[in-house]
Amino acid sequence: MDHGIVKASGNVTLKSIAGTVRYVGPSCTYTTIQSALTACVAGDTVLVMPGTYTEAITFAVDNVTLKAVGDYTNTIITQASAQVVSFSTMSGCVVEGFTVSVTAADGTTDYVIYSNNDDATAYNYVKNCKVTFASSVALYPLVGIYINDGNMELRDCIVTGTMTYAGTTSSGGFCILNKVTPSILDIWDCNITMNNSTTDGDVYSVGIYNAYASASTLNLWNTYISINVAGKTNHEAKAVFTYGPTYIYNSYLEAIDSDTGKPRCVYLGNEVLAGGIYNTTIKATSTDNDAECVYAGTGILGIYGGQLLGDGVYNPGTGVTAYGLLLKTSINAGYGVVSPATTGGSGTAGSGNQYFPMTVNGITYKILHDGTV
Amino acid sequence: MLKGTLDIKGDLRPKSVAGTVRYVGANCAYTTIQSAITASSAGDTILVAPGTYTEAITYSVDNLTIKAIGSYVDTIITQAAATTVDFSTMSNCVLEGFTVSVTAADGDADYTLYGNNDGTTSDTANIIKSCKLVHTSTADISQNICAEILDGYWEFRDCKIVVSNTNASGGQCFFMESYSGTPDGIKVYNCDFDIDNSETGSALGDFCFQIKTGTLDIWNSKIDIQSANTSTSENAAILNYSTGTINIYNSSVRVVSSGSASTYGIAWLGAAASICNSYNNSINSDNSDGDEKWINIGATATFNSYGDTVISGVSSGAGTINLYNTPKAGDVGYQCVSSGTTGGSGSAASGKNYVNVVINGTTRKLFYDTAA
Repeated sequence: MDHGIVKASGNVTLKSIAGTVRYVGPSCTYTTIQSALTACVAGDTVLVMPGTYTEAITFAVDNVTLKAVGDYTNTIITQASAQVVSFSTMSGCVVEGFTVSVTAADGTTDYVIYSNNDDATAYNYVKNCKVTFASSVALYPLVGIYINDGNMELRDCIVTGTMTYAGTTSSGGFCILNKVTPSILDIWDCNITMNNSTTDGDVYSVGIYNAYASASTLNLWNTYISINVAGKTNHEAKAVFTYGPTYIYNSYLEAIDSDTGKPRCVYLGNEVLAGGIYNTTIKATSTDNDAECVYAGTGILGIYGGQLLGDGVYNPGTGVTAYGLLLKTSINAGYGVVSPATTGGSGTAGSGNQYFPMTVNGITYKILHDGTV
Repeated sequence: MLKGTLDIKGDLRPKSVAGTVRYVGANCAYTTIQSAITASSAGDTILVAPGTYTEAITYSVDNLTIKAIGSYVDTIITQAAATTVDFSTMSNCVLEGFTVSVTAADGDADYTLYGNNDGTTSDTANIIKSCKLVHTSTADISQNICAEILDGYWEFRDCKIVVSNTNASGGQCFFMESYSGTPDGIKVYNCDFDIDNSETGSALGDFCFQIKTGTLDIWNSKIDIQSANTSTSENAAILNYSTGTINIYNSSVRVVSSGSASTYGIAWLGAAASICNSYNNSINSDNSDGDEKWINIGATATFNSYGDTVISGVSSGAGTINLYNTPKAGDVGYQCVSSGTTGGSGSAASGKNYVNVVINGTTRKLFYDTAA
């Protein structure tokens, strides 16, 4: 009698799909990272022993994970003036735990990291890395992380650009450039800074440039961006410069010009057709009072909570709507505690009335009251 | 005879500078973490197999990374009553993926972490990542200090911290303390601090951080201090008694005393010219007798609050306080609805310009004289 025991027939072997782990180091099978990458097939992992690897590397197949055995403090991939890490057209690849640096860029294609991911949905990943680039010559634009196509995720990274050219030729660049379409750039928990001591105008120094294509989406969580420049006139310092859908959460963004340049901390182009900025501090300062915390054209986006700081103004264009966005005003002014006064002059409309200043949507009104405040 | 100069072209630097990886575990070349450290040179990495390592370890070279192969769930470095991980004067070192614990501290110097980093630039930071740091005491000691940090640059990322004293006569609790040192820069990302002190009578308070120099940056973290104190002790997330600068972003701070001890919320700034910038934090300060403060500003200190939410507490101190977009406790906030000009001749406010503003839920017609 059959009591219901299921009898299997056919191939019930558990299948495993094996990747190969390849080790890189002076005493390992591979002594250069590139030789290990060249040997990889999709699904492999390359583990890199601590050390300084003065080489330029290019991923050659999809789905390869490149990890430091140590940490970015002791595992370094570096070039003086050449592209260092290229994902090429690959997707599903990971770079984790390295310092990746260009120490003396002298050309505008000396990218620290380059990705031209040709997959419509798969990402490349950069995690727990310190990405640094530096130049002492005039370049524009110098780019740290250049994403020419495809999706990219950056997580727990420190991205630092240092431009020390101090002559009169325009010099600037972008820490991160997300280019062409369509693609998604996700950034979590990163610390992104640029210092540019050039004193010229007419170029940009930017944290994240989400460029050109209205279909390129930027998502930014819990990230600190600080852009410090010494530019003049039209040198625009921008923490976020975007033309695609843009979502920013719980971040701190600042653009500071120590001379007469024009900081525009968050620049929203006309093509920003969706997005929101949530609970984010946006600060802009310059010495000649032309800074803008937010500059927007006709794009559509909401700003929810958060605040504007510094001496920058709010220039929302025609498509940006703010909900609960607070300006750098003392709440005490808003509630009539500080600076109460009496309007002067007899014969004017409000003469003799007591008032307190209150800033509403960027305009300071003299709010009249009839007694104590 | 050949004379002349030797013309060297090209890049003659060594192509790679290698570090060594050492494994620690029951069946590995090294069975203790300390024996692997002792064998290490700068630039090396130590990988530790899962297990409980009842040892005290001391970093003895710069630029040494010690990582758990597993995670803090299964890889534990512990001492009952001694300093567990000592960074000494080393810099550029990493500790990742461990539970590090002092389980029964019986002296003030039983630190979970100790460091006196002699590096002088921000890229020499020692980094503690993805660790659970525990400091527990049942003894009557003066200070329960999880991390004694005396110098240099430090970074804490994705860590969980538990500091607990269960002795009613035991002393202060700290996560990080630097009273006798001069740390340069501390960066804290995404950490969860939980400090619970049962001590009831001391005049000395509980603090997550105590600094006096350098810069302390805290992002996206939670700080929770629970004190049972009934005396005049002053408890706060951060004690800054000298010239240090504090920047704290998008974090949640709660300082609670179940007794009558003074609670000072986000910071107790001493009389010196320290600065604290606070951005978008929620701050809850509460005790049993209702005199809680959310900030104390010493005589020449400056506190800038940008968009904070104060759940409970008032401000105190003679220093400078600048509140930008920080409502007082109980305020709901205000919102501009629309603007216009009142109509009708003869009415009280006829012809006046106004903005409709919702204040604490009620729409008020606020008149203005001129847009200044």
